[in-house]
Amino acid sequence: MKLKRLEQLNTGLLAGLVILLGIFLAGLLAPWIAPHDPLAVNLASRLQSPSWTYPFGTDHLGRCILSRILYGIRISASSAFIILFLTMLIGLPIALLTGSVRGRTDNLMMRFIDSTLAIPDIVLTIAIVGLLGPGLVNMIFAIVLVRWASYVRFIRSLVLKIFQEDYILSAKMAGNSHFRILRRYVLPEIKMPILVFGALDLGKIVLNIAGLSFLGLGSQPPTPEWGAMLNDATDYFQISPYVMIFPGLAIVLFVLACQLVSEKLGELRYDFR
Amino acid sequence: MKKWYKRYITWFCMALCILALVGCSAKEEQVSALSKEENENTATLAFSWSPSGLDPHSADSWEIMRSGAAETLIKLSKELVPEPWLAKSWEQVDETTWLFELQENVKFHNGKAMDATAVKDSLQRAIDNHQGTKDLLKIKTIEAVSKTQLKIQTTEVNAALISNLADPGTIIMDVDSLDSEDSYPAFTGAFVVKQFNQDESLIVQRYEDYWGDKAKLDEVTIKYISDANTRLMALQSGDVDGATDISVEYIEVLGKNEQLEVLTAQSLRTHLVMYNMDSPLFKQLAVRKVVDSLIPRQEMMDSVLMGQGTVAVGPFSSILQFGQLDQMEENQSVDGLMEQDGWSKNRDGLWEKDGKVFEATFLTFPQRPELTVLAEVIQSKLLEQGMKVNIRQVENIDETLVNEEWDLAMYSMLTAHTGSPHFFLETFYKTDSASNMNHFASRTVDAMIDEMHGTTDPEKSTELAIEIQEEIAEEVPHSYIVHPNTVFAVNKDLQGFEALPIEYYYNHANIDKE
Repeated sequence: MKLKRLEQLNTGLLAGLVILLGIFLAGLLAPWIAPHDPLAVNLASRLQSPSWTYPFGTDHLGRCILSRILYGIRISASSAFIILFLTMLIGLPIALLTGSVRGRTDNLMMRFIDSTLAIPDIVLTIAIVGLLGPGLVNMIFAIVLVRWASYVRFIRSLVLKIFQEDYILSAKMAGNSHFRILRRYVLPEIKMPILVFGALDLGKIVLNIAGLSFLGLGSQPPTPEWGAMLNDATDYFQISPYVMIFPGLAIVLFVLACQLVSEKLGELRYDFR
Repeated sequence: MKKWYKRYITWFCMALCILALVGCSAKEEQVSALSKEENENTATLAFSWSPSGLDPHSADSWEIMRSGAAETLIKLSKELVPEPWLAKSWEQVDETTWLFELQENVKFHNGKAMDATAVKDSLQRAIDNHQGTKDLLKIKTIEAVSKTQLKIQTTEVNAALISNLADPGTIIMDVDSLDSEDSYPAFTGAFVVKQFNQDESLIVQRYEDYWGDKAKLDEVTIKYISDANTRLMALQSGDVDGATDISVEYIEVLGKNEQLEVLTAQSLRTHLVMYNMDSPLFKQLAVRKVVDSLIPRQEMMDSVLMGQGTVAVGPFSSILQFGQLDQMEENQSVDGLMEQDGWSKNRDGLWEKDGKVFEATFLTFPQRPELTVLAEVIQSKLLEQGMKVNIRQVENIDETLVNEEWDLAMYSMLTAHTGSPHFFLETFYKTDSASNMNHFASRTVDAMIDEMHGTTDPEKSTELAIEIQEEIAEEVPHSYIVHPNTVFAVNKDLQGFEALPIEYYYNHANIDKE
C-alpha cells in the first residue's frame, strides 16, 4: 500500500519536498558547509560580485552572502516552524473544543476570533511588535498571537462538518466518550487538511517574518535573517544587486516549495478519498 | 434574445474602456504641456524631513528656514561668520546689552512693514514658545528703541548671542498673521508660501515685494521624501531637480550620469558613540578607553563613508577654529586596561569579572542607516577582543536614552550648528542639562563652560573651548568617530543649489534653472 502511494506521488510534491528537505539540511549543516563566518566583518572586501571565494558576493560590511543565507535558514525557517507549532498548539485544542461542544462557549469564542480577524493581520502584528519592542522573540510572539485565530476558524469548520456525520452519531450512541470520539474519529479525519493548510501557511509565515525584519522589527543586526538582509540591501541594490537578489531568491524558493507541497498534498487528499 | 443582449453589453463595455483610455491620455498631454510651460521658471527639490506645520517657533523651524521663505536677524556665511540679514548692523553697548539696527523697507508676506516692534514681538514669541531658543538667547528684555532700532538685554553675559540669532528658532515673522486661519504665516523671505501639504510638499513662489535681490525662479516645489532611495530615484528619473542627503554609496552611480552632479561639503555633524556613565560596565574609565581605542575610525571612513568626511578627533569639525584639537595618544594595551579594571579572559576568550561575562547593549536607530552599519563594525571589532555587544535598534533614540537601560549608543549631532561651541558643550556636558543623556558630571567642566559664556573675546573663547574639550577628553564620555560630508545631488540645469557646512539655507533667491 505504502509503495503504491509513493508511485502515485507526483513530481510536484516530490520536488517541493526535496527543496524543503534540502533547505533544512543546508541550515542544519551550515557551520560545516558555509564558506565563511556569517558575522565576520571585512571592510576591505565589501560589496564584491560573486567569485570563487564568495559565491554569492559580499554585503556592505564585507560579509559572505552565501554564508549568511545558509545561517539565515536557521533563523527564518526554524522561527517559522516554531510559530507554526505554537499556533497549532493553541489553535487545535480550542478548535476541537468549540467545534464539538458548540453552544455559548463556541459563540463567545467565535465572536472574539471574528474581532481579531477583522483587523488585517500584518497591521496587528506590527502594532504588537511596536508595543513590545523589536526583536526575534517578540516577533514570534506577535505572529503567534495574530495567527492562531485563523487556525481555530479553519479547524473548527472541519470539526463541525464531521460532527454532522452519521458515524459520529453512531459512535456517540455506542457510548464512546467525547474525548475518545475526538481522538479516534475526528483527528484522523482532519489530519490531512491541517497538513495542507500548515504547509501553505509555513510559506506565508516565512514571508511574514521576512516582512517584519525588513521593517526592522524582527531580528536585530548582525543576525543573518533573510528579511533583514533584504533591508540592509536597500541602500546598495543599485550598485551591487547581488546583495538583494540572493536573499530574495532564498525566500522565493522556500515559499514556492511550501506552496508546491501544500497544493500537491491537497490533490493527493482528494485522490485517496 | 439572450445573445443579442450580451453582444450589446460587450460593445458598451468596450466603448467605455476606449473612452476612459482616451480621456486619460488627453489629460496627460494637457498636464505635460502645462508643466512644460511652467518648467521654464520653476524647480522641484527633494528634502528629507517635512515640517509638521509652518509655525517657526517650534521644532519645525529648520525645515521652514530651508524653504527660503523665512529669515533671521543674522545670517551665517559659508565660513560660519555672522553677517547682517534682517539686522543691518549691531553693536555691544555693555556686557549684557546689544543694539541692533534693522533693515528698512522690509515687508512681511502679508504686506505689513517690518519694524522694531514686530521684531520684538516675534522674538518674544520665539522665546515663550520654545525652551531651546530661550536657553540659546538668554534674553532678559527686548525693547524697540525706534522704528529701526532694537535693544536686547541678556540675563548674563552671552558671548554667542549674535551667532545664536542665526538659529532658525528665531525666525522673524508677523505674529498677528498666525491668527488668520485662511492664510499661511507671514515671513520676510524671498519666497512666499503658496501651498503646504504635510509630509508631501511645500510650494513657494517669488515674493515680488522682497527687500533684497528678488528670487530668480518663479516657483519652487519642495517635495518631502524621507526614504533616501526614493529621493535618489526621483532625481534619476527627472521628477526633481535637486535632492539633499544622498547616501555616499551612490556618488559613483550618479557620477556616471552626465545630466547629474554630486555636491559635497564638509559638515558640522559628528557621528559619535555615547557611553552610559551610570552603567555598571562603562562606569570605569578603563573600559571606555578600551572601546574608544578599538574603533577603527580611518577604516570606517574609507569603506563605510567612502572617504566622504573626516575622521573625528573631538566633537567639532576641524573646519572650525575651536575644532582644531591635537590627537591624544593612548599607550596602554587593551589587555592591560581591562586587567587594570579587574577583568580576566575566560575559556571562550571573553572578558569576565566576578563570574559575569562582558555583555553590553548597544542602541542605534534606523533614521540614519549609516549609524547601524558603524555600530555593526564596532560590534565585530569588540567581539574580536572578547567583548560581547548586542545591537538594539530603537525607533525613538532620545526617549530610549532617557527612559531605558543601555550601555552604548550611536548618536549623530550637529555639534556647532550656530558656528559656536557654546550650545553643544552646555547641553551635552553640563551636569544638570536635560540633554546630558549619558550622565557625565564634572564640576571643573561646569565651571569652565560658565566661564566661556562670560568670555566675549573671540580668541580667548576659542582657547577656552579647546581647553574644555581637552578636559572632557580625559574622561572619554563619548567617542567621536567621523564628521560625515553633506552630500547633495542636482540636475546640471539647476544652478546655485549648494551643499554648505551650515544646514539652514537650502532654497534661496539665487537658485536658477537653465
